[in-house]
Amino acid sequence: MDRADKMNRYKDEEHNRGTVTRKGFVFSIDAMLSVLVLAALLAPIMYFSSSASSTNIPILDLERKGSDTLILLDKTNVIQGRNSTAIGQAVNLTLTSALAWSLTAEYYNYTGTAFTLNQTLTLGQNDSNATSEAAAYRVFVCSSLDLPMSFDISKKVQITVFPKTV
Amino acid sequence: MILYAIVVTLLIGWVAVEQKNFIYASDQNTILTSGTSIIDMFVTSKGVPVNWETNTASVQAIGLASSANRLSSKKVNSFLTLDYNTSRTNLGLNNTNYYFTITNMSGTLLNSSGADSNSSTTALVFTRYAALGGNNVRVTLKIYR
Repeated sequence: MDRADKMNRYKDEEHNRGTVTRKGFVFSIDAMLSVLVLAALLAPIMYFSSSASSTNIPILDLERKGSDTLILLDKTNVIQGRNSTAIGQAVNLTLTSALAWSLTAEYYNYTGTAFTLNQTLTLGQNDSNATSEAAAYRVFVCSSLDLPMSFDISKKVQITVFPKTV
Repeated sequence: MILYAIVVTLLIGWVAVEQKNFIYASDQNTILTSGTSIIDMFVTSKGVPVNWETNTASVQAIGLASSANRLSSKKVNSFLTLDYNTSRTNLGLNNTNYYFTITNMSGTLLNSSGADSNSSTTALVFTRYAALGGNNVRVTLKIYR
């Protein structure tokens, strides 16, 4: 191989090297862009997937606990006693210590044509700072045994249950 | 090229972490839904058939109540004597475990069944209130994987 051939071969190699370098650079930018596009597509999918997994069951659980408490207050005749202290103690004993509550009980008398409000009890804690809360509401209607279709007393009781704030 | 490799690695890592979080949240939601339904059936339903406690082999759905929020001692005792795997399958907890307790309002344990564990990856505790034999009780169900 003479000197001229060597020079030509060197020039070809240099030329090819330059071309390869430029192609590689274009390829890298292209790949980077595709990764960025992929990331941009995946981000909203991941975000909405994680949002969709949130649930309202913890609120439902609070409502069920409140509803259970009202049923037990009725079954143990505590709510009929109209005694704020006894009702408060019974609720505190029933609900777990992590929960706070407020309760409103309205006692009605039936006068033959309509229910008239006789007494209202409001007890428990202020729920204005609660981050989440659930209310359970029950109406208890007691009919007289002598007169099955007449109502001698009825109660509307609402309890709001919420996690205690520290 | 190094920058490209770093970006791809970060992306794969991010997807893996998100995927893991999503699977964990999904798993937790499954347990949450199951636990809420099961404990609701325990305290409000008689079960299927309604007298399943007389023949535990016939049980199709376990309910422990004689009326809403009033537990039947017979149903509770029958449930406590059920084979753990049988009750677990009946409750639809094939891939999870449960620990069931009844305590009085002071926290004293009255009854329990199932197996408790402190080394679970996911565990949720469900509590409801009911009456049993004239006393108010807390019914607690822990479901864990």
